[in-house]
Amino acid sequence: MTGHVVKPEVTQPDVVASGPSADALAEIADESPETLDALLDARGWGDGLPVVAPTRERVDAMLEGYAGDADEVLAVLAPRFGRATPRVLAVNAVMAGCRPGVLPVLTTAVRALGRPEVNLEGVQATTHPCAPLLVVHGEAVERLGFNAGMGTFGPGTRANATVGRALRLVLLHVGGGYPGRGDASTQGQPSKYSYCIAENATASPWPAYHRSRDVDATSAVTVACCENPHNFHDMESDEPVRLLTKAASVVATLGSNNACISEGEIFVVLCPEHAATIAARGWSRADVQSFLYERARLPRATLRDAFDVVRWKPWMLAIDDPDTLLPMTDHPDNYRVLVAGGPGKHSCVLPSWGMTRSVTLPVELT
Amino acid sequence: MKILSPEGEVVGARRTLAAPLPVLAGAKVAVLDNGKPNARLLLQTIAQRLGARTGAQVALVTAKATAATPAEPEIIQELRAADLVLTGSAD
Repeated sequence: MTGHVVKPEVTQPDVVASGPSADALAEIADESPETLDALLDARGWGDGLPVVAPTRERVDAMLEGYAGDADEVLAVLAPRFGRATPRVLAVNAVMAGCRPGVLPVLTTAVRALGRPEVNLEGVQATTHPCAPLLVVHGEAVERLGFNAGMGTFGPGTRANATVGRALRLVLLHVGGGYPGRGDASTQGQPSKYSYCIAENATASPWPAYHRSRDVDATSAVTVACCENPHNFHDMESDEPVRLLTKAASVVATLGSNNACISEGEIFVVLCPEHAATIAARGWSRADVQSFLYERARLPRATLRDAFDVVRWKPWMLAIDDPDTLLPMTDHPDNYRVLVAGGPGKHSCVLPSWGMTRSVTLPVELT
Repeated sequence: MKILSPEGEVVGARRTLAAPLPVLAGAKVAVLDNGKPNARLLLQTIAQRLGARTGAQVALVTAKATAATPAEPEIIQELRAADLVLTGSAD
């Protein structure tokens, strides 16, 4: 018998749990942009943009009034497996430029990201360009100054911009999701800088989104790991079918992971005018979900020609007629419908990475 | 001026890497298909060639449900019977 001898080697050193404590300090001469830039470079921190220096005073101010234990481990964030505590999140919130008061939104979002159904390890590490979208619901929107109206996905509002950025900084610093190391995303996407919107509940014809997910609270957040928004416009329809057929056409594309993974959620963020048009004909949120489930489809042969491997439910796999139209997700409830934005007739679809579920949790404001 | 770290402590049980096998002859080799395209073909071919060169035996070829999630506990348990596991393949 041939014996291929491997040179015996000393066992590798132990991989020791490590990392700075929440109170770890770095010494800097001043907080000029140049000094902070050099510190970020030296430590490998940051998202590429300038930051606010997280001094103890600023971090304490961010924590002021926080009702919980500042050192509670809210989640362990993959792939670095860093402990996310309110204190560490406050450091990141300061760096992102957050105003005090928003910490409960951030802590709840991180708690949600730690839930197993989110599959954060996969979300962070995949080559797909998904990013956690943070949606703020309820009283927190107005109290904390989130923009649920015109340009909710865009720049110009401190709360949306900085809380979304803080969540990304947490995913970088605590979770280790740095491009090329913890994050293998082939191209990334702009929403990996900041991805935070607010539900425009006052302009929505339907119950608040979080209540539709059985979260009975005055404020809540949802995290959903998905692609950038894919726009659809409809300037002319006065009834739901024509309008939502456009949404369905955006969903039913071969480029989306939803084409080969049937369990994915698809967020549909309707502008108030589109929602009003739909609701004026008596359609509920569930009707929108059912319609999209029925309408957003592609022929089986088209889907199978495009993919060597599909991750579909057994009932979808059992269909062998090439002309049968298969849905882009395996259940109507996987369409998650909410209203956000301002005047105009543009809405959007946010395809999922696929192997992740959104989580909605109540927020206790201080 | 002092500032606080944004990183937080790292969680992790103390782990020791297994010592390399001194001899592969007679060793049981397992293949864990991680769900990436062609992973099974690639890894199984490597295992077979390794066996031909060293006298190791390809004892098990298995797969986890999807590349996006960790291997299921029963798969890990199954792999414990092997002396060596080949896995890992990317896009």
